Amino acid sequence: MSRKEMCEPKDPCLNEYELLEQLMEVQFLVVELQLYLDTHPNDMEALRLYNEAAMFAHRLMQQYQREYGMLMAHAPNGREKWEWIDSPWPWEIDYKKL
Amino acid sequence: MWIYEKKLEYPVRVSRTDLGMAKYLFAQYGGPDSELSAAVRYLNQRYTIPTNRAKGLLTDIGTEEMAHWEIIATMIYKLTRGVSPEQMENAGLGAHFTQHDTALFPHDAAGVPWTAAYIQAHGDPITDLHENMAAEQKARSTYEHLIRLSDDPGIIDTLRFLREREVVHFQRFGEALNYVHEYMEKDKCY
Repeated sequence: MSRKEMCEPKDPCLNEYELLEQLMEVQFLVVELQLYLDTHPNDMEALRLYNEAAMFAHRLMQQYQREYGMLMAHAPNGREKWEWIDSPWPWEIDYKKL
Repeated sequence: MWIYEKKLEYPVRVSRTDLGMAKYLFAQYGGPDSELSAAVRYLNQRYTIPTNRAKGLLTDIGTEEMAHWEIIATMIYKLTRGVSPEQMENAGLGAHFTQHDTALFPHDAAGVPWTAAYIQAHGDPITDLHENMAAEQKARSTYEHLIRLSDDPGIIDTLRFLREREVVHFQRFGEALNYVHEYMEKDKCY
């Protein structure tokens, strides 16, 4: 994923699976840069990219959880029911829809 | 501590039930060079490794290996969903069915259960980082064998992702090793 793609605002028409796919892509970028920075802690360009990617992943995560259900239990949940167990389990998702 | 995210690191797309492939994939679920071995090896070594770079790397790669273990589990789960005992038996998984039904269990492709004897922690950072680099190469070649055994484009796609991660982890461990060498040279008093 190029930097330009990464920074483009999300298309509001993305469905649940498309949004999940975009989140997975950006979070993977965060993981990859994290490992790189562990052994290159003074690489300022990588650090800048990491911060951008991490911020974007955070926004996508919040958006997904607001629209489609919980990905992490450690988040305030103001609705009337414990929803953590309702969203699909990763091994049960049909990724062919992505 | 760890906090679970209810999603995979990379999608798993399976075209059809394939018990033969599920059996082979157990190599990476509970075999010697499995993702389980990788996760336990790195997360166990990190306490006594000397540099912060290596502590960070063992923590973060060890964590990613747990995500890969989940990807392998998802592949096996999807490949074996809804099969009969007869189908399991015909695919060489009769012994697995006897002991586990279609539940997952950390054993290798031949049914040998996972053991801590597969991994090592010497406490010597040079030794441990070499152990880890060798482990990444063994996992890479296992993934290449698995890719050659599959004709399912979805399975092959996910296996190619996992293979590539082994290459990246090998590279990062090599960089951590170089830095540990520098660190140990600096520390010597003559």
